Amino acid sequence: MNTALVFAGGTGRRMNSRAIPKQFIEIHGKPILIYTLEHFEYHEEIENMVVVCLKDWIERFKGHLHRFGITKVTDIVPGGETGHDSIYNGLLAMKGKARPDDIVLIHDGVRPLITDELISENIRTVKKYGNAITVEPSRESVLISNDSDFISRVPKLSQMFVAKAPQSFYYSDIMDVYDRARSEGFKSIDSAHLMNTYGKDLYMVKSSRNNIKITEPADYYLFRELCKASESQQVFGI
Amino acid sequence: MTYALIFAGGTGYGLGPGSKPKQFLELYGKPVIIYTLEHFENHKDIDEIVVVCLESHIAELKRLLERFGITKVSLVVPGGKTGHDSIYLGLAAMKGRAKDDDIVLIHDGVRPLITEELISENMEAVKKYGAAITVEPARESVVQSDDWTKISDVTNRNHVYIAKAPQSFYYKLILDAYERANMENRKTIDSAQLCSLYDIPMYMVRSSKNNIKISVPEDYYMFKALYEAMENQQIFGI
Repeated sequence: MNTALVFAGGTGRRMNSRAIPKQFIEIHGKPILIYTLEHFEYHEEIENMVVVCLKDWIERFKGHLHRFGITKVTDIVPGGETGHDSIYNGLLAMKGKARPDDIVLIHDGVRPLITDELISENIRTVKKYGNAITVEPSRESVLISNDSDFISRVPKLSQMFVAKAPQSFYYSDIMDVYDRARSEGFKSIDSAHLMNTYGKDLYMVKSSRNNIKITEPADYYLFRELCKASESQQVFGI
Repeated sequence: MTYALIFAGGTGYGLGPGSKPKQFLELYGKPVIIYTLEHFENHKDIDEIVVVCLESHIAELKRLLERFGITKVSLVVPGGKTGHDSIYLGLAAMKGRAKDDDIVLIHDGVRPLITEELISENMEAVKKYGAAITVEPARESVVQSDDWTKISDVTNRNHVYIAKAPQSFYYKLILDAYERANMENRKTIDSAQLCSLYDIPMYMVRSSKNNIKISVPEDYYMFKALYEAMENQQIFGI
């Protein structure tokens, strides 16, 4: 079984949107989170979705699911204090239901621009190598600084990639490392970071284009502009 | 004296065959390169601008400079095969004109969203430290891979920065580095990478927001979206 675990627990602190968390901001009348969930809803290899949601927004979110015809969400789990905690809550909710060799695609609710092929490629890569981290080659030089004033080194650009989502694993592998982090009081930035910390080998999947994460106002404007552009493309066939 | 050395030598390949070189793409009737040049034209501490331009487009550039009232451009130099070669040609063309301790801000013609403060901060940092690289803290995890399949390292995000522009130096320091690279037949992605090869200390200047580089089609939409948002901010003050 393949499950999408979608993180929608963040608040809108960086968006200036005060009341509305970024995943619930609407573009052309549809919340960003619904744009994201639709990719999994309509993908035939995805059986169900678990959504980690801001607690205060769960009721409204249920209304959105109904209104936009999203039927695959089996669990809605309240988010934790950090992204790390929220993913852990989601994985815990799957205990008892998920089998060890089920595949979990962990995705951000604020990454609405993924594709069918990217989801398929994640599943394929997990079956081949054991896990799949969606990445994009870095287009600008990456610099390392140890003191945040001066550059310490400039690694070779051709070897540098930016981690995106989905990040996909066998259920038992990812549950194990989150359990271990829990017992050691360790919090990670994302699942790739956590797996790497515990010495697990990780494999890459090349991201589809425009897999942006909407965290700042500029990202929202970009998403809206890309939505418009892709709507125009339907008409003009360009 | 303080010079801006603007690289506008790239072709439009990133945007698909047959498209205009991206620095000449227009938004509301004004080419991207002009948006970029205006920041230096209007900055009181910039004395001269040197533009490295695609040879086939030099006449067009000169017409645009005239039409949009850009008066500080003192040299237009034909570009080389790579970005590295083009910067070197620009620096070499300044010989005899620029003094050793003049400051050069090397900037991309396709980064039209910079600010007056960023230019000023670059100049101040050069006076203090000799070399200044505009950077942004990484917003997503950066991973390293040597073989495009397996991840060899997940870098600590707190230490990772993305190199932007301007990248600014004393004239002699940067000319010497490029001449040495030329003799040793080395090519680099940008001046930051070059300086790191020769262990030149580089201070990091924090970029202003939205300092995007227009190199693939979605960047053009991003520029459009951000530009419109900024115009609206003038009215609404948000």
